[in-house]
Amino acid sequence: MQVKTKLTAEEFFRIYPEESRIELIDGEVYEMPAPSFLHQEILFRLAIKVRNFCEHKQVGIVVIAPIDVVLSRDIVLQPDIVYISDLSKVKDRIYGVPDLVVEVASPSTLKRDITDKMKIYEKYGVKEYWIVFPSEKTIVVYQLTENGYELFSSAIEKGKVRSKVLEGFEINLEEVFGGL
Amino acid sequence: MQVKTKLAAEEFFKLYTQGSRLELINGEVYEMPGQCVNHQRVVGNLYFKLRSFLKEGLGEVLLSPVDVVFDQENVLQPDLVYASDPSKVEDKVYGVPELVVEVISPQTLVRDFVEKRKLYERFKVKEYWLIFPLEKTMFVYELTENGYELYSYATEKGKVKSKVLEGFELEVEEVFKELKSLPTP
Repeated sequence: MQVKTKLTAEEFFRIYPEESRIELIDGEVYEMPAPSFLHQEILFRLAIKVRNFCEHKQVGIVVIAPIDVVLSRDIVLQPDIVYISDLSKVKDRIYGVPDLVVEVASPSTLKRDITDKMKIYEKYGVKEYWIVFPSEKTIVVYQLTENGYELFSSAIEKGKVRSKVLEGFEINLEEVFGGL
Repeated sequence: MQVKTKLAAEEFFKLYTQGSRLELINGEVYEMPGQCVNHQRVVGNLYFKLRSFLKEGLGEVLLSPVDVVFDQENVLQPDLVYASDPSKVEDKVYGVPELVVEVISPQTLVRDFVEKRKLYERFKVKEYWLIFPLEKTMFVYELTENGYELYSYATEKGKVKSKVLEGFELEVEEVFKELKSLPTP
């Protein structure tokens, strides 16, 4: 839902209190729906795996939503999981383009996750984009190429997906969706 | 699941019996999964709406499984296909239809959302409808210079419209009406 129109990132941060669940897309403010149990459970399971992997490899940092990622003066998004290799981008918020973004699509965010936000991540050069579809128990991993996002890895229910950005990372979907 | 590799459309039709649930994508044969009741309900609802909208002479909408022969290496079975030109519709559909509809299921999400979408874009299918029954969401993509762009969409309630079928509007609640028992995340 659109709340108010045409703001810059500075105005946006001034007007809305920290930790608001809202996003700024092309200067327009959008509310984020409160996530469901299923969304949060999947997000938690996935984030632990990614975080453990990065800690073990001692690369970058993994943060979960809600965290503001300031991509430009008029685009501030709150992805479900972000991985950033360059720690200088991490301050009170994240300033700049993360290496990897994960969105867990729920019915209320499906449209935004698979169209608007995907297009933004592609345009700003996020190297890898994962979309998690809880209802379909599917994960799709896109890799940024010259022609935009191309499918790199995908799996349903029990298969494994792997990452290119996080070399060596793979996850069995049973660990994400098992019992849900 | 991939079955066999690199065939031309003629070989494909010779090898497999008519009515097989198979697709030929870039010369490779893929099995189509059996579909669940909810998938068929959604496809049926859409077919009924489209059929009712199309008057005599406006072309034909066909229900899967029907082979659409895009070229020698690509024979697809979309859930619904609309062709305005009756000369394209023979025992199979030959050539590029104006509108293709895919209703995703867990088994076909990646194929419908990623692979077949790309193929339809490449073959210049003017409009692509993508339906997520579990999310009760329907997307209508329009072919532009930059490929498919979202033209209309709705979740749970609201209307979607078509560009190819001018004047066609659909209340999505009617598409998803029998699916109430489904768990929503």
